[in-house]
Amino acid sequence: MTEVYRKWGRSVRREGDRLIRVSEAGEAIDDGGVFRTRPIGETISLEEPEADAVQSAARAIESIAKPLVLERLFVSEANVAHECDGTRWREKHRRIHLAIARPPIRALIDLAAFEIELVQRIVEVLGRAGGERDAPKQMRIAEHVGAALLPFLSITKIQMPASHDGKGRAIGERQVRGEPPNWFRPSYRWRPRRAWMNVRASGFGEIDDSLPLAIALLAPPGRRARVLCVDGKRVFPTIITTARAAAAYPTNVWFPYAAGTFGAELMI
Amino acid sequence: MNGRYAMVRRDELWVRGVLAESRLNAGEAIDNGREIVAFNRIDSALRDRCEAEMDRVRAAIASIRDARVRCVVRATDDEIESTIAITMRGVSVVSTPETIDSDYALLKVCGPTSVGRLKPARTHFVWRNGSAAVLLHEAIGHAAEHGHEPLDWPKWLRVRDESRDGTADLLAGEAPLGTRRESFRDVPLRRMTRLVAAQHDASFELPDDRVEIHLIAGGAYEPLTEIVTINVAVSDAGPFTIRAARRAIARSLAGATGAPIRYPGVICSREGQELYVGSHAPVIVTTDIA
Repeated sequence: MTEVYRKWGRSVRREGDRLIRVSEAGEAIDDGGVFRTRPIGETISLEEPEADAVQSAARAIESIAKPLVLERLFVSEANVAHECDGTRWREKHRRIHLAIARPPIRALIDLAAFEIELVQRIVEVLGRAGGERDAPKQMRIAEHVGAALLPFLSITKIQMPASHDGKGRAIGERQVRGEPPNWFRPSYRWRPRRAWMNVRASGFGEIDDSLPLAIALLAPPGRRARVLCVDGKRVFPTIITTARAAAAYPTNVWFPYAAGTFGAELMI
Repeated sequence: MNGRYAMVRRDELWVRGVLAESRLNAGEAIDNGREIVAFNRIDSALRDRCEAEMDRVRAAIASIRDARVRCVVRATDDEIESTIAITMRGVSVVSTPETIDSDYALLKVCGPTSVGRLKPARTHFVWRNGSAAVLLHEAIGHAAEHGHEPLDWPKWLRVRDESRDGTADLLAGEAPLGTRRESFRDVPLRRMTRLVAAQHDASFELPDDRVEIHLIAGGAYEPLTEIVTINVAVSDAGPFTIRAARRAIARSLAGATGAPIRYPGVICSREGQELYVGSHAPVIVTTDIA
């Protein structure tokens, strides 16, 4: 059976010192053999994204990051409409992607809201960072770092419900195990792939608030992750292995990692 | 400043001679220096040029039935660029319709070896097939893009970037003159277009105890630490990884011979934009690179 997916989008993004406004629409047709995509001329009414909000968030970040090197700044807002085999739905996205450096250390920050307070906290500790150290025997992981590490953790995880996946089907609440039932489609130009979406840690154990805290990612997440650790007055980069956790506490903040994860405060 | 940029891009993925994916991408961007406004608009003249070129690319790959082949044609007001990436047994080259026959033959001859990923004990590397261009792309080209200070490179070495906007002496720390972008949605950046490394009166002696490097899987330059990483895909010691500071690479260049040789392909990724960069280098010998 041939599947037809269409997407319309309007976005505004700040990339470095440039503002980019994009309007586009396209379709993907998968006949089971060949996957074809092309732009489409059909237009639909979509609200103009809030350029002022994007600019304001970008300027705030530039101001906060001033003592350090703002290597990469992407702040965006998009209004999107989708249609797949007759089902139509709409979404609004906000994203921040930052690389802030205090050479030779670089913190990576990805957010799905214009929440600048976290950027401020990371900039403050990054400015005090010393040399690399071994990871403490036990430590806490901040919720945004835990969200990035969640796909690599062997703990009980739940897919949280939402109205539509990349094929317009409902996303059901279920334990993350085996083959994902839903489809992730970040662009009409790419084949959708099965993925667990909106993944949340199942809470267990108790987190010791006195432990050192991993407050920022210093490299893309993986089973071994390079993080910035705050231990009292000491701040240092370290490498942690994330296979297991001793405690997990899920939060309700959604992060744009993998096909979506929720914040997870962890103790490892 | 008001700049208009229009593009039409067709890319196709062929797996063992069968079409698996086909994408048309078209649009236009108006740039006033502060803002870029980008939207879908198909320039029919550009589309016709793009499709005609894709016909030529399809003819060039028609006989390849044992590989994964991704063809990309990008037509803009300034140029038509065609690239053909061929992957066999996990090893890739990036070619053009003009060079596909020789590059495909090279890929078949150079297939991967089963040796592990350990760095070989031998410390003399002979960079064949123009593969030193990848090393110099990372250590000199990206360093120049980032404005890092020039180093004390061997007197016999020349490294330049050639583009429609002019030639930059990368060795002297000049940034590439050409601004490039992957699509109409992207911000144009100063990026390398065609890196040409050459040697003038270099000494050259083949060390007895050497590793011959034929193809590279990928490379990276870390601007914060100035560390270069090169993943060697095909060598007589198997695949392995080199990680070295660019200062160490500058010290390691021991000699070179011959004219620049076209290396079959570098797809360079920076700021999320993937661009083809032409790459040429003579046979180069490095010693104790790290």
